[in-house]
Amino acid sequence: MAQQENEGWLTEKWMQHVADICEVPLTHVEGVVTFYTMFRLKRPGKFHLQVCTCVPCCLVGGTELLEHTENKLNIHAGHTTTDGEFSIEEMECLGACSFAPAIIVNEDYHEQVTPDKMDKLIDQLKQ
Amino acid sequence: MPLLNEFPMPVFQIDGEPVEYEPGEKVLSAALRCGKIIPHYCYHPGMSVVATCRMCLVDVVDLGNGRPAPKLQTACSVDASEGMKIETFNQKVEEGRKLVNEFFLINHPLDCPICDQSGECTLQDYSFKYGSGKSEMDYSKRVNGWRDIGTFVALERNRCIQCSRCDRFTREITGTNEFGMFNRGHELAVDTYTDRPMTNKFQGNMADICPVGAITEKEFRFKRRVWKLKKNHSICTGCSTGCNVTIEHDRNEVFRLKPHENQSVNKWWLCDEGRLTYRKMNEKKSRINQPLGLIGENLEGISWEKAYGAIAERIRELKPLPHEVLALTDTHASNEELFLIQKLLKEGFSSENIFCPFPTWEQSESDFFINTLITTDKTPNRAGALALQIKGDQKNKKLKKAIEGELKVVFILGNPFENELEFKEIIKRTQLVIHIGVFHNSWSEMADVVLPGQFYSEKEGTYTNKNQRVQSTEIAVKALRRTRPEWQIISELLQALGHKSSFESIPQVFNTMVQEAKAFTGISFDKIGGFGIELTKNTKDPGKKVVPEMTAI
Amino acid sequence: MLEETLVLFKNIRNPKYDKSLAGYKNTGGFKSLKKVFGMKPEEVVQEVKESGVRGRGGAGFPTGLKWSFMAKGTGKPSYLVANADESEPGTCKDRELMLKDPHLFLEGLMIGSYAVGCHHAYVYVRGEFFPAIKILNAAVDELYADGLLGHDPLGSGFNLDITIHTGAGAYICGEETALLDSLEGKRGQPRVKPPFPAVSGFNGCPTSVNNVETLACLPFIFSDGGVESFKSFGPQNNSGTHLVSLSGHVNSPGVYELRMDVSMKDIIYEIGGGIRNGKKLKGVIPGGSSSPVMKADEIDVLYNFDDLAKIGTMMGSSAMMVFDEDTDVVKLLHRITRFYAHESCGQCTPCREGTHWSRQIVRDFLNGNGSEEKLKRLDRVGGNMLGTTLCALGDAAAMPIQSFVNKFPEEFRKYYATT
Repeated sequence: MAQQENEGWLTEKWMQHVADICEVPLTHVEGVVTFYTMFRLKRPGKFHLQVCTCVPCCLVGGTELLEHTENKLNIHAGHTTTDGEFSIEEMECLGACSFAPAIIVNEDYHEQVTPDKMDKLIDQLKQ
Repeated sequence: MPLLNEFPMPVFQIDGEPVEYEPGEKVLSAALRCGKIIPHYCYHPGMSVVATCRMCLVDVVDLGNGRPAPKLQTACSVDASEGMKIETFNQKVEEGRKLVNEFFLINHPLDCPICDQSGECTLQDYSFKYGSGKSEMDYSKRVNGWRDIGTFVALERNRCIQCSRCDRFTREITGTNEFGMFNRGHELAVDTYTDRPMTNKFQGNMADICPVGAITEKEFRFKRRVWKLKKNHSICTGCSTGCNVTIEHDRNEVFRLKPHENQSVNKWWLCDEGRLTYRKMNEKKSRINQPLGLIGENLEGISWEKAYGAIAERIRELKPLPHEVLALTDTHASNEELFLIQKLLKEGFSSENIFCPFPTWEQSESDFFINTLITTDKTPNRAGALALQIKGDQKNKKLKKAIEGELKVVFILGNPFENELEFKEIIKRTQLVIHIGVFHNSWSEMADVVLPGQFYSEKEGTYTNKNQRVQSTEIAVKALRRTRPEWQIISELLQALGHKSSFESIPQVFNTMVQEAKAFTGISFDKIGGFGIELTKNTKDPGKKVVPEMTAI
Repeated sequence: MLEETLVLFKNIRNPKYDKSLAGYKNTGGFKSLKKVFGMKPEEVVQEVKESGVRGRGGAGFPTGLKWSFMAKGTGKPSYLVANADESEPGTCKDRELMLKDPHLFLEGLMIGSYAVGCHHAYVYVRGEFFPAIKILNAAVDELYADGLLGHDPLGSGFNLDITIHTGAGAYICGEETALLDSLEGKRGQPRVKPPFPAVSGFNGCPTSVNNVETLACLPFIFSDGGVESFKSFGPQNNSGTHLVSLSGHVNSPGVYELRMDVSMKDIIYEIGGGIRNGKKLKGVIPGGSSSPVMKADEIDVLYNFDDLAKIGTMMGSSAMMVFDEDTDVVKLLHRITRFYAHESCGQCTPCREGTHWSRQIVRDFLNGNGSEEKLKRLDRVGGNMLGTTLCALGDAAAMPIQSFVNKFPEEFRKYYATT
């Protein structure tokens, strides 16, 4: 069941819409939405930084990278900057373990990211 | 193996004892059917197997091929097979259960002292029986909070053990899908969609199937501890389906009705409307609590002897001809009462002027069995009246003719034709109106003699449901001191009128009825048992089939 | 010097390789498919059995045997679903295959579909793999345009459609029955087995769920002399090459294709270039985060299913996570338990409660609230989950806990001895 995303997040109205199209009960839709991590009920930032801190990434600095990013943007994981530009999410394994630490920005993978690289990336995105 | 010859069905062994199973049946299902105890939470015979609670662990010591299963298996998901050997109480199993049970308790609030489920809570029972008695969980517990989820039930999610029975209930039993499991992992919780309250008509069942106190009936919350309740088997008289219930009462007050499993009638379920009929059982205000007689202008309390004596005397004076006598009854009356009042007319007055209301009724048709439980006929014994050939409604010519003729004596049983004001005007003019009933109503107001009957929770009786199944009720609560069951009243009236036949008990009336009423041929009171028995002769009024609207969320 | 054995990666390791359909055909692609179309499906299954290829998703179940369990003559369609929901921490082999050589995998999928009589194959890709999804979709479009998919490819009289289905972020959907539920549009919760998917899987029809890498082996197996050479790549019952995702504290992490008769030591020190910064090895998690951990002195063992099973661990999805002497094992375990607590579907009790509880206990150690008693308790909670859950996630969460506690108890003690 392909779910449409509305700027990366869902509202009750959209869930109703999905239920109508797929002819399934609303509880089914909400059940599915709350089960999977990629459905969001909160509006993410324009650039959604998904930082992997799972085992292999954690071994080579994923956790530090997340801390660094949080400090840089002055928000905690799970939150969005006040200007709505950036949001950070702490992710479980992204499946790029041999190229750790990995992050996803919206739909693009960035691998072997160091704090320096992260700074550059964020500066780049800001423009 | 000698066992094979003894049993026509295939057999496997639980703790060394043979258990029959139907091919394809699961171990737990077969075990429960044979009265074996295997603790379980998520399994419910009426719903799909999810095998998620992991409580029904058993040790399969022989899979039927001489080899044991590598680890403990959940009895609810293992297919029974020939020659299988299962142990439910060895050390391995007890250890496994203890471990699983501990997991249930670590996030359970253990608020049994203020929980309504306490006393009938499987978590409580199993923890006591199979648990370890101590927990090493020393962190704060999960808090999910209270939810008002419906018109009939409330949800205390902290107590929930995520067995998903309620979720499956709205999906598989009612088909209304109002309820779901949300989030995942440790945060998994049950709720309605965006907290909308449920509107389905069977919410009470969710409280029944909830193994813990997460879903409770609002009606029963904080009313009485369940271990104080005494239970009596009965049937619900809220409609003509005749769902089997247990009346649960304490100190002569009824607290709730719970469904009683009967696969031929209601399976495990009961509708909310039926549950609410318990209120009527506690009704005191409008009860007729002693025999009343018209003395001068007013109805005044008299003794039973005086009432019977006065009736007999008036009837001797009036000398009514057969067409001058009329009996009106409702179909709340039991088979025995209907039979006796018919007998009273026949033997006392050679009259057949007995009528009861028969509005047309509708039978819901649905893919979901539970919807067929509710009928529009809100009386329990319409089919019984039909079987006894008591007929009539406002359009019935016979009834009209009877009413419009010269009437001298009228018997009213219960509250028939309550909306037919026309009849009432006519009957008011009759010389002798005798009302036998439980509650005061417009009939008792116009009666010359009022004889107080008993509500169905207070007396024995049999009722014939819409599918012509005869079922009996037990006495649950004590009736008011100066009331008598209607069957006894009618029998005593017969005696007062000088007839010999006297009836001492319900089985006696029933068995006489079997001999005299054709429709009941071939059955006897003993055969009714706990699950009822169907009439062999078909006098069915199938009702109008309608497809109900699905309850919207 | 140990070198890779290039079967699956023979194109990927070629710097000039063009991953388009034309490029794949130039390297001899779809020859095997043509050969397979000339065989009977039963012969194909037999050949796969013969090759001894075992599922590369983690369980190591023989693929040919799995296919032979498929219910036949039910009147229902059969399905083949490729499991590309690669989310076991440490594993990133399927992503490489899908990104860099999608047609190899798709050819394998087509061979498999032919073998099990499936006319509509699904690829369940995890939702986060945005680039891989794009590439796969483009590759499938190419195949349709070329007539290799759809009605009667290569004049075989066999119709086949392939749908790429994306997940939405749930580790548990890598479990085959959860994957099927997810594919049907439900919450991805594992189902009760039996019935197994081979009898009642996708929409109640016979279904086989196979890993991407497993399917990618098929074109080679059906090339000329494929079965024999495939078997020669490893000891008995562990045939073929496999993709090892090497990660953690090694000098050159990456995905490598290796034979199955190579020792772990050689993989770490020769292929991986040793431990970075000249440190010493402390331990290895040999097969994805759910496999029991190994200490440095245990690694002189052949890296294959059976040899690892003999010493009480498992190869799983061939994801080797190496950590050096400076690693804080307790923190590492905390990260692993956090992963499982986050990814447990929650439907069955021991896993729902146990993963969360164990996480809380490990966090206690990190916060300086550890004790001998809690260490025992942690081991016990892990043990309680083992073997009592519906699917393998409970076991997967329990095995690292127990192995960490038993192999590195002194590391835990450090936390409460000093406080």
